[in-house]
Amino acid sequence: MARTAAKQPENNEVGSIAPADLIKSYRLMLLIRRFEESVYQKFHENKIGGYLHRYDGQEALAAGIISQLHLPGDMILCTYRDHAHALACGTPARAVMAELMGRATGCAGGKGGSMHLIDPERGFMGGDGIVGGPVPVALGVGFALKYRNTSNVCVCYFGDGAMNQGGVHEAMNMVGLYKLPVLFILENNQFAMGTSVQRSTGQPDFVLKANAHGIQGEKADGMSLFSVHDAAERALHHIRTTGEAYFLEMDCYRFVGHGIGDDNTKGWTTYRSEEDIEQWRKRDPIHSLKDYLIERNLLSAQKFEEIDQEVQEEVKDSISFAESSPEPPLDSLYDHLYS
Amino acid sequence: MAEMRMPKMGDGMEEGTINTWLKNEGDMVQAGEPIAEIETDKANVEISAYETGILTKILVQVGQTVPVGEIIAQIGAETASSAASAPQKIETVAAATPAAASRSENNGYAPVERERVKASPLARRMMAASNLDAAQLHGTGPGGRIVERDVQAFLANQEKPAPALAVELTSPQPVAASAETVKPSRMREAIARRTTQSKQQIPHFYVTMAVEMDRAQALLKELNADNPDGKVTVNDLIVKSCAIALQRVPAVNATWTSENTVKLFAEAHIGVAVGIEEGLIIPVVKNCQAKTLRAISAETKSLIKKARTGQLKPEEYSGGTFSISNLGMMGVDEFTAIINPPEAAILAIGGIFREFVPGENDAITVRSRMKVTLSADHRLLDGVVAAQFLQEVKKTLEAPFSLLS
Amino acid sequence: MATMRYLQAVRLAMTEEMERDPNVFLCGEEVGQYQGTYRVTEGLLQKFGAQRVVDTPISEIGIAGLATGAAMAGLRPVAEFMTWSFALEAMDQLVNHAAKITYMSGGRIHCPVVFRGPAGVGTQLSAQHSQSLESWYAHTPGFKVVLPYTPSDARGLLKSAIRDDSPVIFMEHAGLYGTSGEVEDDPNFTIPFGQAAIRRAGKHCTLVSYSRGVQLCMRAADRLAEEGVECEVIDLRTLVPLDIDTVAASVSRTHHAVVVQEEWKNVSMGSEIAARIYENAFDELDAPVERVAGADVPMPYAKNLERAAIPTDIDVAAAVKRTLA
Repeated sequence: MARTAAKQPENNEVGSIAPADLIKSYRLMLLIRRFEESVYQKFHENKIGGYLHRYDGQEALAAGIISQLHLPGDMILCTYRDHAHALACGTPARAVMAELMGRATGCAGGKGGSMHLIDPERGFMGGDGIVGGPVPVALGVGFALKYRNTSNVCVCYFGDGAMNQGGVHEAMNMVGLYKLPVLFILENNQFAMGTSVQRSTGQPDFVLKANAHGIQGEKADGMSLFSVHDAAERALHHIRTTGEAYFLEMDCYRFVGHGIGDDNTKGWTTYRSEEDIEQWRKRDPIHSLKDYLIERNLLSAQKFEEIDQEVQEEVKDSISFAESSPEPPLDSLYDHLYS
Repeated sequence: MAEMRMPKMGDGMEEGTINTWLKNEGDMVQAGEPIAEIETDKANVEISAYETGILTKILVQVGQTVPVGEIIAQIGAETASSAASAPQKIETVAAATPAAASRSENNGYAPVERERVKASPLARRMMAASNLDAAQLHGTGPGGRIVERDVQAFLANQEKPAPALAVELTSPQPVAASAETVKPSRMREAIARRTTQSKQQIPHFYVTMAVEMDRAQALLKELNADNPDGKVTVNDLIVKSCAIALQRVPAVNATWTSENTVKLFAEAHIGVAVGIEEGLIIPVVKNCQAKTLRAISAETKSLIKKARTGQLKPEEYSGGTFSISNLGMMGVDEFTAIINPPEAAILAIGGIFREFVPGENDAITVRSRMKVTLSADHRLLDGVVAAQFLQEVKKTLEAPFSLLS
Repeated sequence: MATMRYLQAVRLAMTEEMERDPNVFLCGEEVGQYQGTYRVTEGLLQKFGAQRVVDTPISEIGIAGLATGAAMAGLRPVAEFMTWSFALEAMDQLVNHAAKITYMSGGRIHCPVVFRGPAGVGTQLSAQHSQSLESWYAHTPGFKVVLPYTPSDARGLLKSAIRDDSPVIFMEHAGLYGTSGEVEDDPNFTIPFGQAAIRRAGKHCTLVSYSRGVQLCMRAADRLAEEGVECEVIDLRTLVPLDIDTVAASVSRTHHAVVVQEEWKNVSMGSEIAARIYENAFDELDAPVERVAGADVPMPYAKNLERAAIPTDIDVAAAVKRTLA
């Protein structure tokens, strides 16, 4: 079947991203990576519970898009693989880690956990634990943004698995019908949990499906910050000028298991090989960006070292903050059931 | 610690009296070992400990009567140090181990549970407020539940001026020249209570029929000729005859339940009233429908003997589905008996008398005749059914070889 | 006081609230151009325009998501389900999203949405369209659940629902749409949630119900009054919050209770109300709480079978007699 080809960045030199912004993005992606690398240990120490989904490998999708949004104002919804999106929106690592550890200082006061990070003051309308779940909500958020005559955009992240959920298509149809300012980001990491796109999807050209609902779209390389950035820039421009939605299919890969369950048990070996992962790791978005920054002499080795130290300190600090934070008071059990 | 409660030893038993304590406070008792003898309205029985331990406290003294379920003694946990100690010390030990206490409460006394009185929550609250015992009240709600109106009715009755009632009761009484007030025996009290209850609650009606007993007597003569030790009696023939009649007219072998339903019994457990010194007791011959005449005869003899010596066990005088009261040997022509609840009927047997009866062509013949009267509960039986039952009795007694099967 | 029909009262509430607050809008299937499947929204498109009266495709997940997301982003949507039977399509958006977002965000997001539409059983609509599922929503923490019986309540409660900052499940009864009643003139008239109404006073037995069940109770009470049995009829109005105090106080006077509902009996609102009566007024009861409910079967089509599956005032009267036996 014909597939929509990924548009290559028009200018690989990327004059569109200022060096300072590139370094900011590099720092953010590194923070996300280091943060994610720390959470399994905390899970093993029984300080984090529930499901735990890491974003390793997909960092460019959070960093390359959210950095271009008008926050607050624009609104972001995403999946349960949501630590990166919160950090990208500017939610302090402390509040994210505290939430993972179920502390009162967490961004949802300990009521949400890993899958339900949220920070509405920064435009982050939350991670969603249900595959496809955020897409109908994004329809509503987009409706509200248009209803109030704003020029804001609702960005909705979801995975390749969500494209087979009925509600996603109901919502995309209505977004197309009502011409709402929604940017759909399909984080196509190739696997819906353990089921590959080939094994789950009759028509794997997802852009065609968006087109079917009256929504324009394109495919981009989710492993490249530049590709992600440029595609998002075009999409956001389209939405803000026409008021109509846009769909971006981002090819990417997660380097770890679906969740801590299949990572611990190496359950992921049932659906993909170590060689595959090695191939994708060669395209690690953080390494590519680092190479680029080194090649262009945009950042000295010492500066890299400093950033790395800073980021590691920030993660460590978030852990000690969370560990020393109180648990939510028991008498808050019934708080926030109603507004 | 285990509590010994006044056990319910038979289905009519509501209270019991301590006759003797076989153990003293402080004695060691073994599970299964008799610790007291109690007198019920039917018999004297020994009761045994359910747990091994020390009899720490006797709460009901000899001669005292308490309702079924009341705690009569306490048996403390057996401990090495306590075996020979004084009771007070045992109590301290027991009190210090609440976990053990609750365990033995659960396990200690299962066999005879106090019958739960059904009462609505509101009725319970009202009774508690007025310090009433549910046992005093009669429930008129579904399934005999005590409901609000029952408590109200009871309280209204209590409020009636007592003196007027006393005058009413006392004035018609003759002023006796001399009188002695005697405390009735436990059995007398029970008979008083149960017969009153039966006559007040069961709508009795009576059907009488004469049975010719010539052939029955001839058969008995033959049966007993070669077996003087195990004599079969007229009464045995009647028991067997009734067992057959109960199978043929099963409506009589039944009970009217408190839920206002009729329960039909498959087996005929026939009670035989036995007059004894203290009053009356009705031992029950179980499964008469399946027993031969000789088996019934032997068992009845044994039960009557036990009854007369106060040795009947509760299970031997409870569970009847029909009763027979025979005053024939006392020269009684005929009489009516009071139904023994929860049974549906009782057969009263008169004496056998030689009588002139019109024979064929009104020729005068002489026959041995016995009059039997069935008292029946009109809630489940009508005259026709009662008569059918008597016809069956008459048929087998007049053709008595049918009783030998 | 003006006399109007139940469906007009629902429409009046929406009209008044849309006039009062520009953030209120209406969406659903056939609510605009078609003028409402039951004519509840008649004239609203003409009055408020297509931006605020939004016709949707037949996409219940989409409708629920549209309303939930818009509420999270600060609007006050009123989403109509053509009937509550169709809302089953949207359960994930309703239960996992609308009901939970405030709690799981630690109170950082509000979701002031009203989901409304006709519910109830009858008129030979058979298994998939004739059912009453209020206990599903009452079971879910996070929803307020409202089932009005009178036109005045329909208006007063819907206005409260639209002004409420929490998600509200508002179930109208299709069988009550045509009933008439007096409605207050005050455009700001609202009825607070959690306050049951005593529709009739009586001293022998308390009848507890809501929505059309109240009608059965009133008719049964009339029948029983002829025999000298006086029933107190309580209209709960809202199942969440539940005004158990009014119920318990009534049971304390009558000592008998019958709970009446159209929905299935098993694990239902009636089970909950009965349990709450036991918890709150056990010592006042002179008999077990009786329940009158729909038969636990998918609604059959045949007239006689349907009649047998839906509770009647005669069933209610019989239950009262059982509890007073």
